[in-house]
Amino acid sequence: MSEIKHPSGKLVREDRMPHIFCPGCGIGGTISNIAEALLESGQDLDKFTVVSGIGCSGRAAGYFKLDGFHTTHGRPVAYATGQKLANPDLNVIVFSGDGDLTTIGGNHLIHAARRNMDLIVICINNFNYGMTGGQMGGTTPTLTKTTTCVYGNFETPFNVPLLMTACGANYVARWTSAHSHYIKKSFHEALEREGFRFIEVISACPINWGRRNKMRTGIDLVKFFLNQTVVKENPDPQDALIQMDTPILCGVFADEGRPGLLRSMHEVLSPKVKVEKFRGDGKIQVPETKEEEAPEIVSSPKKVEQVKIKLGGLGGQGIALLGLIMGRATCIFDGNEAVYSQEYGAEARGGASASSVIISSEKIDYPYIKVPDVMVLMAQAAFRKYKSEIQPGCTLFIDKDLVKPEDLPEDVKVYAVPATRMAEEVGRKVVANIVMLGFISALTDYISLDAVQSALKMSVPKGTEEFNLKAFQAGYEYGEKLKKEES
Amino acid sequence: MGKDVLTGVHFMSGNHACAEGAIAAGCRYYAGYPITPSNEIAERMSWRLPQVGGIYIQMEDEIASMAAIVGASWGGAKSMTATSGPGFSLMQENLGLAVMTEAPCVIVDVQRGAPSTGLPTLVAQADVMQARWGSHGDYATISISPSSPQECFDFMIKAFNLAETWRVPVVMLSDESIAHLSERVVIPEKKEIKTVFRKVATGPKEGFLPFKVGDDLVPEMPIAGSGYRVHVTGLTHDERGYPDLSHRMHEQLVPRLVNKIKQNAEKIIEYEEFMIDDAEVVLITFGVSTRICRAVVKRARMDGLKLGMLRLITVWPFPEKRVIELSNQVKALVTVEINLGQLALEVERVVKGRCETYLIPNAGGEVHDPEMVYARVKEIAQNS
Ligand code: SF4
Repeated sequence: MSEIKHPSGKLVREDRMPHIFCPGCGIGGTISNIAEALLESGQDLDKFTVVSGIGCSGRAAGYFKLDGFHTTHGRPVAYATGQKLANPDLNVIVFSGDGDLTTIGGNHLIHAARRNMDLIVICINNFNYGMTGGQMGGTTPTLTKTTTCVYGNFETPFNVPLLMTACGANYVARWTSAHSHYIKKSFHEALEREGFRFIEVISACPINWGRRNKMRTGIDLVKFFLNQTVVKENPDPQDALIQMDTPILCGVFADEGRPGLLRSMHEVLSPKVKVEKFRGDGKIQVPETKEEEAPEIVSSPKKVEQVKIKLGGLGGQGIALLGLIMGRATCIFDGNEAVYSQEYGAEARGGASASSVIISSEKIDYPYIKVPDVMVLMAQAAFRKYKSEIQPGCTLFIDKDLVKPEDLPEDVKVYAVPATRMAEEVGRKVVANIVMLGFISALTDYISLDAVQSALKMSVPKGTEEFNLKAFQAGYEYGEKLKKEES
Repeated sequence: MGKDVLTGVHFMSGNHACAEGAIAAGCRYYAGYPITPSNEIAERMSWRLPQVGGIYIQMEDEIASMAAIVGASWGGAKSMTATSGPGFSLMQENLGLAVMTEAPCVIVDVQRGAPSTGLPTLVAQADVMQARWGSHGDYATISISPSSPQECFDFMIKAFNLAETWRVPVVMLSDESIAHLSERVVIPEKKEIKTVFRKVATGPKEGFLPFKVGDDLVPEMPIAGSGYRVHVTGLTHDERGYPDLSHRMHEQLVPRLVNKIKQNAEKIIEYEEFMIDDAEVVLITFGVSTRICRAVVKRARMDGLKLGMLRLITVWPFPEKRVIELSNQVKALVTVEINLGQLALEVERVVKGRCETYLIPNAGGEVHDPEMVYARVKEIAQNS
């Protein structure tokens, strides 16, 4: 017997023949159409990949002699999104079925269309789940029968071209598996465009759909398609719903020039980041970066006993920043250990919230504070909320005007500073936290002055360093004065 | 060009340190979906990746995120996602695909109180078994668990290196507590950071067998677009990558995928021991609970109680050999974890009654109170 070579044999895995498709099935023909179009395109086929999901059409990836990825049910569009973005040099084609793409994978499909992801999607629509034996799905025409709607489908199917155009796909076309010529033409058009390109192919499934709907053979179905099909120029996707008594409207429903995702990404990001070549250009290898001098690590930090500081106030008072500066000063500039955490979640929304810092020369194991050694309170609401944690021996730093401590346990030292008022005098109320920081620095010694100031400078917005240092200085001097008065 | 390794001393949260560790490890692709308490990882990646030429994309859900990072991995990028329990559940389907198609990638699971929506903003360590068995079927992957922001940075590099070496998804089992603590993070110079890239296919293209393995059971990876024109499938497949749905092939493939980790476990497993040499009772723990257990051991030693700690760095594969040795040495092994007994099951399974085994559980929402743990340990020490 002489060997008959398939015309698109160069692109089909002949070592996998015979394929799994049933006699009369439309999928094999569509694979051939795409393979032929690919060969005609003259492009570097090493740079094409085919990604499919699960189902009869999902097996397509296994028959193209390209890098092919047969993934999970419904997910090929998401998978392909990853592959294309990670390696924009690739031309990624998704080839899968209607159940896979529009039903279980519907969410991925609509979002890929919305973001105009640079993919070509070939959707074989055979009106049912063929691989699993012919169940109904999101594209089964109303009143037709499948194994899970034996009395006739009472649901309305997706109008797939309408769905895709509504989501913003750049290119949307529909043909039937009897339209080889148009399928190839559309594929060529898709190749020339960018963004999300979607071709629906209404495909004959004699075995699982035709048989139950009085079209037993592939020929019956092809006849049905040819009789029912209306090919139009600029068809309206509103008219593209497929029911048994309506025409199957075919044509190109959308051909927009919206930039593809990679181009949009490039346009927004490239001017804003200091990268010579943003990866949207197709480079996998990341360029080498120049080495810079590393800041020195403090070698012999001064010893401090563990101190647990809790800071409380209202949103907008910069309580979190206060804690962060203390942590940074300790870790980065003093070379000691610090753990910083913030009250997080529901309890931190509205009302008073707190953050906490633990400072020590030793590694800190338990990272939270049960009984604070120091409490810094900037609002009466915070005082009320955290009062129960104030134990004998605690040192309290408060905003003199905003916090009126009542019923304190014995042996609690209170240092008060009109931080907010002083901040207003310096120029802006928002630096009350920094006035407080200066005040605390004057009266405590677990963080060195240099360290606090360095951390302060790195933690405030650029250009406001001097202003913040002024606020710090005011608080510091107030504290120094208080210290002198006391001694 | 932005800096990919932020060499120097930082004061950083665990989540931010995870992001920086990933970038230092060479990760250049992130796909994710927002979920508390992992969001700071995505936020930092969306800011940092473009600076180093990488891609950040926010997907429509966690199913898509996981699919995208597997696709990106085959596209040639070191890829990752980050999530928390509910999102991790959605990722299990494509985590299986990563296992079956041997796609290296990293998933950070910032654990929170569960089941269901549970405690979205509060700590737990209750995804231990989900990390091991969350996807369907038999498989083996690697999970590692940090106990500080510094370890978040260091272990992300470890996670990527393990993923690339063994071509498996690696789960970084972080938790809400570590994610939101800020501490000193020292980032070394770039040349001191050892990074690994998967073995890439280099041989002749004709007749190339993408799933043929040598002694280490790890095949060479023909990255998409490199001209090998391979077929990759989640179906049971032969060395060519072609589906072979026979019992015979399944009996070859699945054990190979499991043995890749099992047979190399000694090279993969890492743990830390604290005061263990003369210990009579040993705490077994991981992640944030390490800090609590270390405090408890220090306290016990001050009282003269011979307590030690075995802290798992790789939670999976489980350090079976070491735990068996310990079970012959000590009176009791006590598992401390923020769940109602997950790792404890593994300890019991391995110990097989050679010594007493106990669990100090905690349903989640807070880390263990060290005083409570100590009180319980004292009781155990007296009774065993
Ligand atoms: S079940 Fe239908 S779609 Fe699937 S191969 Fe057979 S004819 Fe084709």
